[in-house]
Amino acid sequence: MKNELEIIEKAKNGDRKAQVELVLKYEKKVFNLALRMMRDKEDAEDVMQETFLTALRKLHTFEGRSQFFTWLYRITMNISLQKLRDRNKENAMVSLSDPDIESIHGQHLSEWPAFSGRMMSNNDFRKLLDKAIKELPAIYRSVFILRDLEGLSTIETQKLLDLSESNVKVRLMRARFYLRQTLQKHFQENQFNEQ
Amino acid sequence: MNNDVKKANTPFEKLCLGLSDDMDVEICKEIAAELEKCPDCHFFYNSVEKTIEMYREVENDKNMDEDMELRLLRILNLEDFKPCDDK
Repeated sequence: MKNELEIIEKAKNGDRKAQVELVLKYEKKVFNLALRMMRDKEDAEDVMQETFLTALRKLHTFEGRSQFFTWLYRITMNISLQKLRDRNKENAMVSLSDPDIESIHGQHLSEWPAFSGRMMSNNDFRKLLDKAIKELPAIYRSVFILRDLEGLSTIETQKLLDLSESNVKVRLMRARFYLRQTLQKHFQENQFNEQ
Repeated sequence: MNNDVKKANTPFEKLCLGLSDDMDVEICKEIAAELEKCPDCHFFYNSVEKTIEMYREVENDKNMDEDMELRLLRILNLEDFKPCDDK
């Protein structure tokens, strides 16, 4: 297997085969990230195309100080966030405040059901998960996606989104608690019938 | 995900380390000890972990449509350079 930096160098110098190699290597990752952000296949395809157009145009600026996929993810996130802003999709989104940790006491919490294949393949349940993440403002969704779904570290996420470490942590906590709260309501209303 | 998860001795420690990539093992041990005394806190943090697991499950089975790659390469003017043995 060829060294990635070697391929990038060739691609920078206009080697079309090397450019294809990079595109084919990362297209699925970029598409999945875009889909997670945009929540719509057509929009995600647009983001993927713009990402690679931008990446190939700006490839000469990639100096190899970060990993190539991080550089590509940054472009993907910037384009996704810009599109979400342009389309004013934030309008229907919830506003998130700090979760009230104290109120956990007295909520009569009980153990959630272990998630089963049946529950996860239930279309209504999948729609609920999708609706909840769509309601998250993009600034929270992006952190949740990068940290919890893409598995990036706090430092990688803060660099990628130009945020402070504490901002990443606060946004992640709010996003997690909001999504958790949505599922809690669902489980309470349905008394864990999905199991 | 925190690499220290392997060092966790109890489910609570695992939970604490699993939810943060930079939490110190000793701090997690303290938090875990507190959680042992607070069933509501345990249920709460456990439900946060399950929320993340559920999203990972549903978000991982989405794929690109077959013709998306073709459209992408066409837009990039690279369709003629795709290796023949790719598919």
